[in-house]
Amino acid sequence: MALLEIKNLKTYYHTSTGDVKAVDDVSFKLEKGEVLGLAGESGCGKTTTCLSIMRMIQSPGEVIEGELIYENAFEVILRDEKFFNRYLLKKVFPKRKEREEQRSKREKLSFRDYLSRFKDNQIIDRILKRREIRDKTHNLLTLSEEEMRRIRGKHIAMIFQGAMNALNPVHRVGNQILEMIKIHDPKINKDVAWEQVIKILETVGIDSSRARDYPHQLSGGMKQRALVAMALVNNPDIIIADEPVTALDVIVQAQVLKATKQLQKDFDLSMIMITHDLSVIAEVCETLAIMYAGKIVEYGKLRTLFKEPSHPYTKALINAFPSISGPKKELFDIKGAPPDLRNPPSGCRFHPRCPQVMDICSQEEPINTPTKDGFVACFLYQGEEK
Amino acid sequence: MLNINYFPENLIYTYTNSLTSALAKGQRYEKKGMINLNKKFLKLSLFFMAFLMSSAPFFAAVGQQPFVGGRLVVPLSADIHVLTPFEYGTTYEGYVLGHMYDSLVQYDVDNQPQPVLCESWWYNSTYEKWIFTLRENTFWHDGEVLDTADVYFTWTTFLDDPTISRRSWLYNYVDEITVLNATAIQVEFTYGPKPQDVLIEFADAWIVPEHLWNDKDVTTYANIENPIGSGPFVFEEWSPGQYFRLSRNANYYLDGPWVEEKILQIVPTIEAGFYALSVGELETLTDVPPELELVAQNDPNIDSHEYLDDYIMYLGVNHRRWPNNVTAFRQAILQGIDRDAIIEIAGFGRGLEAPASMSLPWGPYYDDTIPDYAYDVLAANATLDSIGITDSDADGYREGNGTELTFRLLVSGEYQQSVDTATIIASYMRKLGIEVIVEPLLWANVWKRIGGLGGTYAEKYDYDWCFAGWVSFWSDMHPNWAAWMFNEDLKWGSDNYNIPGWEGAYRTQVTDLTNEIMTETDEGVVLTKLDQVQHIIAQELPYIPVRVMGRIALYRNDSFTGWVKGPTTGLDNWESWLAVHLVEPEEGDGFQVMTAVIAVGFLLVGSFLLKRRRRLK
Amino acid sequence: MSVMDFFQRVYSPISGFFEEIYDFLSEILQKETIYKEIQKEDVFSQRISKRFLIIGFYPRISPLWYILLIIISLVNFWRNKRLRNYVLKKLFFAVIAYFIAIIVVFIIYHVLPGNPADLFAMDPRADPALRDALLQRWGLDQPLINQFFIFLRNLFQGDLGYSFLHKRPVSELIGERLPWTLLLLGSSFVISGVVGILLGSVVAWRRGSKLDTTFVLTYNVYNAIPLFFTGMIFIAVFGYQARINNWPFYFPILGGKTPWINIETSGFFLVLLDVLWHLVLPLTVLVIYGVLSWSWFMRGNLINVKTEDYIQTAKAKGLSDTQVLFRHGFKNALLPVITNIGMSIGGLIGGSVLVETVFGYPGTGSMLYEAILYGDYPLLQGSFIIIAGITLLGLLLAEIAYGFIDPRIRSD
Repeated sequence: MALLEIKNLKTYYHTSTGDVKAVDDVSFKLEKGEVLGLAGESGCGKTTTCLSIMRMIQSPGEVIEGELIYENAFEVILRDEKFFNRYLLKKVFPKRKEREEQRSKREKLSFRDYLSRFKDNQIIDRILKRREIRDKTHNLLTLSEEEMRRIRGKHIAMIFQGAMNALNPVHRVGNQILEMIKIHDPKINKDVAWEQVIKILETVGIDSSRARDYPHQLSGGMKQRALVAMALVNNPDIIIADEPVTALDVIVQAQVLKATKQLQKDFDLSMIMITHDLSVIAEVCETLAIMYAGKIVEYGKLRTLFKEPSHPYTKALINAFPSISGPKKELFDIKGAPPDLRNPPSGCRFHPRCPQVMDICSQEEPINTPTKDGFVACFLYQGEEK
Repeated sequence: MLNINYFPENLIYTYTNSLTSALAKGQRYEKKGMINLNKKFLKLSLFFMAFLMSSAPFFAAVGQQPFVGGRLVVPLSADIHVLTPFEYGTTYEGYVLGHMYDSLVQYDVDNQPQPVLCESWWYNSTYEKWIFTLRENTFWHDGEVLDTADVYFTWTTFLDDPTISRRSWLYNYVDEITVLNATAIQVEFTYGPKPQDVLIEFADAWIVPEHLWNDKDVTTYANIENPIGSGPFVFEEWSPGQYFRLSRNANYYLDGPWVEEKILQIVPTIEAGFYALSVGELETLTDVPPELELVAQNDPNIDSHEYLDDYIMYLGVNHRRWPNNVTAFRQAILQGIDRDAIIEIAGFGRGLEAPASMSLPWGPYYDDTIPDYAYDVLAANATLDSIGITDSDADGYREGNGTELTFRLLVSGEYQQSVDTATIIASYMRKLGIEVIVEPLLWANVWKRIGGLGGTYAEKYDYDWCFAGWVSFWSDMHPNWAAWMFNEDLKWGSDNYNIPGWEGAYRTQVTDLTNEIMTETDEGVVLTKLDQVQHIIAQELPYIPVRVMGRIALYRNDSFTGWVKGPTTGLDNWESWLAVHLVEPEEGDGFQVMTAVIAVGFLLVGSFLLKRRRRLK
Repeated sequence: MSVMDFFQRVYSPISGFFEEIYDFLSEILQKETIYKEIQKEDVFSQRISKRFLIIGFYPRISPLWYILLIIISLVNFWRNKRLRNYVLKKLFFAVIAYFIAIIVVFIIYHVLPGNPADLFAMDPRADPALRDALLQRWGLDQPLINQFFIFLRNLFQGDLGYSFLHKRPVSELIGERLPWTLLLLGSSFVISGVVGILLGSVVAWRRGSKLDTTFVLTYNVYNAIPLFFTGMIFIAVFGYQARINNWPFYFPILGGKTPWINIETSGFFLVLLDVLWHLVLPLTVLVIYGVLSWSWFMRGNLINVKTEDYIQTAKAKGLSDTQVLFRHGFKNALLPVITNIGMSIGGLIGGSVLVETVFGYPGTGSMLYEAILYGDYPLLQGSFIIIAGITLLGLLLAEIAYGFIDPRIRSD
């Protein structure tokens, strides 16, 4: 099963003039160790998708429907301590002496260790008191707020754009990263935690002497790297990076991307990289999902999309990117502007700007046609598949 | 009725006996019936003790009228600053000083002089020599004897220093003061002043103790630390901004005072004071607005006392500007104002119409044959037309000297009655075709404009009209009142205080007449000349008088009684200080404690027995 | 009988007992007694007593330790160059600002029309001899610059002037009324500051909820009602109706303390109770007003802070709502509030005229208002100097505190 699977996610913003359909029926998968790029124009719903995954959508926004299946969701299910102590302890340590020993020990086994001794799902069911354990437990949208808090920062971490303000100016950088550790492990020793902070800062390329500095004393690139460090310090399963390098200049951009790529390889992280800059995607991502007006119009492996883009929008994006080495061409642009998401165009949302528009495009919405290693939503290929 | 002095003790004694015997019997026999009886006894005894405690006020020792005791709390509208009889500034300070200091002579509510510190006075046939005989065995609050040395000291301090602000004008005519012996002091004047002059002006100065004041600079000594006087009340404490605490002078040589403690509570807001009066925190309250007066009428514990004050509200027109200096103009204005209506509307019925001679309309010196300027719009209009102030362009307003007549009427905005009166006057003037614009200002600013604090003469008195009040200088009991008010050479009547700026031949005539009145000893001649003066004033109208102030005082009747209410004095006057006493005597402390102890004892015993009743069974 | 009367009647027989406790406690707090006792006992109880002393009785620690602590912190402060420069710079500007304020006071009260010299010269009621004497004493007949130096000289000697109305030095007048004002306004300030800031944070964090809309409505309604009217309503309800209808509690209408309850006659405890009893109504009026003002201000700040990016980052870290509010949002939103707190400390001296007038509370507000009405300029001048000084001191402290809280300021 994929590490993270989004199914039919719909997130609307309720305004007085109507619902803004920011994310309309989005589905994709993320495997372990995969770097997914989420590309598209500004305002096409990329950030909203990722905020929905983290369940940080605030009113007036609301996740209408969908499923966010996360594989390791059950790990953060709240435990019933008393029940656990009485029932599970008895099961694992049938003898009383061992139980007392275990109780008096400082370092107790974690919940996962206990559960791992049980291969029997029924017992897990009973313990967790849930019936359809697979789907419901793994659906992030059914978790309570407190359970979600355990996921945020520890299993799914987010790096925000615009690092200028993303760090709290009155707290030291090192302390902010320390906070990340302490939230999820309150009983950790302060020195051990500080060691981790220093280590992670060095990993991203910030000198450990800067750990006690305030954010306004760091440069833009360093701030961004500090944010990356903050996201990585708990070894999360998934990192969602929302335009991490947009605010930086090219050289620093390259540095940060290189470091990120290295970290991803070292720690085998899964990443969702949101950006509108294809060059960045080209450097880091394996898979690519192109979003337009709240829908994913194309999804597939990077090479395929760059070499043989299917959707006209993808084609336009790829072609709009000037090549340094190639011959001089006229700059290609896509006419028109992104649609108003309160009243999106009928049928295929790209049809007002599509150079290969057909009659049917304005009448029906295209379904996801599978391609070589992904899918595309375009009527051009709908017949071909058949 | 039962003899209440013996009732409770007997009852307790017999009841205690019966109860203990019942309990003892109950213990011995251990029968259910007896135990029930015991329980009943206990319950009854508990109820009885509760009843006893709550009815304790009725079981009080009967004393003699009036009882000494109680704590009287009266209001003071503003805080005091200095407490020196030589330099005190406001009437509040005078009020507080009067509690603590005595003068030789005091006037009561019927305007009759009463000997206080002195026993009697004697004057010779020419009134030039006066001898005051002091009372014997009078003491200061610190125990020292009060004798003529103190009187001599006080009087000579006034005599030697003409700059003391409270110095009477009569000191200018004092020839010599001599001490005859320990109780008699003699004063010689350069001319024979009338007895009222000497008694009101001279003998009413507060006497200060020489042994405490002889090394002080009287002009800068504030005397607020521990003022020692000889008066009915002894200074205890002054908490600035809060209250003034006085206690009774037990060694006072007159009868009274009867209240043990008197608290002068500073009450800055009249509404808060009214709430305090309603709950009993204050005993009296003066100058209550009419809406609160209505509320008080519904309260059976609050009575009211209406009286007239020696204060005349007048319309002052600046004689230094035309046409204010035209007599006919002023007469027309007075005729155009309906003073009765003003009293009804703005004064809520309190007060009297002021006579045109600016004197109080009662007393032995009042001449009621003066013209009364009844409200007559037609006559007023005719007068105005006749002096040439006409409405030539028919716009409803008269012109004079080619320009439209507009007057700005200054009034103190702090008193709603004054502002209302000024507004009504303006509306009356509109009927006459004169435009009047009412300008309410803070009294301090009004005084700056009308009191003479500018540069040149014209700048000094920068106003057209003003609505203010002025005391009538005891016109109901002293023939010299006209001198003080109108005489050019005297302090109050001279330019600084002569607000309107009245000048001319009539002024000189009045000055001469009042000078003659001051030195005249023949009562008949005095009356004739005073009538002349009043006629001149009524004809010339230097002030345009509107009404005599009527005031109201509310007082509670449930704790204290004995207030002496005069027709022209408020409630808390000198006679009341010596007469107010508690309605009921206070309960003694001991009895309360005894009943409390017995009640507690019974409660303890009762609860113990109730708890252990099972064991007793 | 009022509650206080009854209480006093019950209490006076046993007041001696409370006084004994008070004396006993004050004795304990004196050094010699304790040490003498410790030396008498054996080693074991000595150790216990000493431990108890150190934990429980702070005044028991020798003052030398305190002095050492102060010296150490001063030395540390001096060695921290950045902090030192920052504080010294602020102090320097504060002194300059105070000097300018004094000059302005001088100009207002000596040069503009209505100054004491003019009043003295023009007031016909002032007698010439006294007038000349006082003019000479205060140097009012000398050229202006000399007057200024005399004024400064007097100021440095602590002489704030002499009130002609009260015939007493101004410092004495202010000193008399200041404790009452500080009691009323100081407590109101502290309570409303603390409660207001917390309430404002809570309300801002739940923006749009019923709590928030209720709060905004309450603030606007209460602010529209003048303070003296609110005071009058409190008097009517809790002073008048409560007493008439025999509620279990009621409060007095006038004054700061009951005239006949003094320390000599009734003991310290009863006086304290009495003062607190009189304090309740004016304090409530001011506290409600203060709480609403501070929370309104804090709410505005926090709403601004909520839109910042680092709040979102904090939420993404997995912090709960309250934790994000108090760890990340609060400190940032508090910064302008601290500056305001510093500025309003100076206002404590001036008193609150409206509340004091309604309740007859003996504070400096009514004294200053009276001074304005009677034209007592020396008192106003002296008070203004004090108020300006305290305000600038408050601002200085606020700026220093600001420097401690906000690291961005320190780097200048």
